[in-house]
Amino acid sequence: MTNLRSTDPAGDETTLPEELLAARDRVADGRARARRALGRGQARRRLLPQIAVISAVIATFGVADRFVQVVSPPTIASASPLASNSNAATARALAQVSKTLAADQRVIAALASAQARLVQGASQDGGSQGSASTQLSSLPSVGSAPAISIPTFSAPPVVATTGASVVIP
Amino acid sequence: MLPDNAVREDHVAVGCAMATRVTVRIPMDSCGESLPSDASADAIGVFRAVDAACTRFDETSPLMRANRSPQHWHAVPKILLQAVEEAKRAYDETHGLFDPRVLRDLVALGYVKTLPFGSEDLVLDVASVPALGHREPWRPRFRPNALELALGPRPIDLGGIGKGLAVRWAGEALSASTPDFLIDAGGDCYCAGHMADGTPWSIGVEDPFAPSQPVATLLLTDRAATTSSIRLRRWIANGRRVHHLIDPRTGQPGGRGLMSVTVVGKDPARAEVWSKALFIAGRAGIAELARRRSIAALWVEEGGACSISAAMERYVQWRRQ
Repeated sequence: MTNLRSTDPAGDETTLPEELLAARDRVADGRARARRALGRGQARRRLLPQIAVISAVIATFGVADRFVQVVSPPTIASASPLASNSNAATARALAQVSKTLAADQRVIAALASAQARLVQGASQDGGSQGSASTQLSSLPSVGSAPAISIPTFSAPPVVATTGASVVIP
Repeated sequence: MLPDNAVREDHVAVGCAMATRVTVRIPMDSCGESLPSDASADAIGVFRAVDAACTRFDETSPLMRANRSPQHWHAVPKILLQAVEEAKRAYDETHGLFDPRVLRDLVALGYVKTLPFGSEDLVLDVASVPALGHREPWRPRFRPNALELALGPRPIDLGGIGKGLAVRWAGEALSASTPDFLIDAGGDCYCAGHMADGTPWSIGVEDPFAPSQPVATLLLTDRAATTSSIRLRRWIANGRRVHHLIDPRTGQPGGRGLMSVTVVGKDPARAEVWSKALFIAGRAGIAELARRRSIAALWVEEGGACSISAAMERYVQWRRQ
């Protein structure tokens, strides 16, 4: 009996009959087909997951892009009134700041006026009020002094006044 | 500056009496069927009647006739009798801080007639007279039914209460015609009811250092506001600066440390009396006296500081800071 398992191709080929060679070729062709089929299967198993992942990624990006395309325009469209509201609020805040500054200027002007009176009184009293005028000397410029014409803390109007009785001879 | 409603909707009458200007203001809608001009004329007439009976600047007045022999009985007009009775009541209530017997002290300082006060340079050349003061109790006597009185050993001056009484009696006369009115008698006011818009009367309290600017404003309904001030009635006697608010305990100008005292109360005469009594108490004693007697008071010190008592807080609308 022939031991097929110990057949070395380099020592036995020239001595095999045609039928065995044909059978060997048929086996070799079958193996080649099987090898190609196996290769295709392996290739499918390797590529399909990647394709699936890539497709999923593409699809996700596509959905996201569609989402962006769908959602963003209204957002952008509504951004204009939002910005407008913000500008109006800012304007109101600035107006309030301006009013506050104006009020502060009036207070400063009134303080400056009081300072002037103190200095005048001090000069009439021989300078005894010098310390007060020194304390107030660091006040800002009194360029806004005309604002005193609308004093913030003036007395309300009265219908009569109680005080020293003016003599009418 | 007057409120707009006061300018447009008030009847205003002005007259001169008791050496000062008297103004009566009545909202036009308050008079009912009475004519505001008649009511205000009657009110100003009250001032003239009080002045005629109680002035010390007319030697022929009933008061001065009684003053010439104060210990004797004198038949006097009812208005003078009532005025002296009120003065005695005020003397008792203030425990002598208000005392009409300061007449001789004032005369000793040269205040013998109506003077053109208002100038810092008013100088009176008077003889040096020692301070008198009044130690003995004042006990005038009255015969109301006979309309007679005896003033006591010393002559009296009703200048410290006369105007307040005139405001009181003029107010009583006006009340018969209108519930809303204002009487302004040279700085002593009575505010009945409300202004034309239904709000309380707004009254300024004069700053004795800057008369055109108030130190406070008050909102008053059915209240009097009177002020004792030395802004005007002061002069130089024998080289010494003096004023007309005499401390009866010393016979000298009193109220050390004070420039003016304003009192709010229901009755103008009592308010006037207490404004003087508180002034005499001086800066050292005014706060305690006002607190003890629950008097609504505002005072301005010589240094310009302005203070009020607790009872005054409810009337203060605005106060200079």
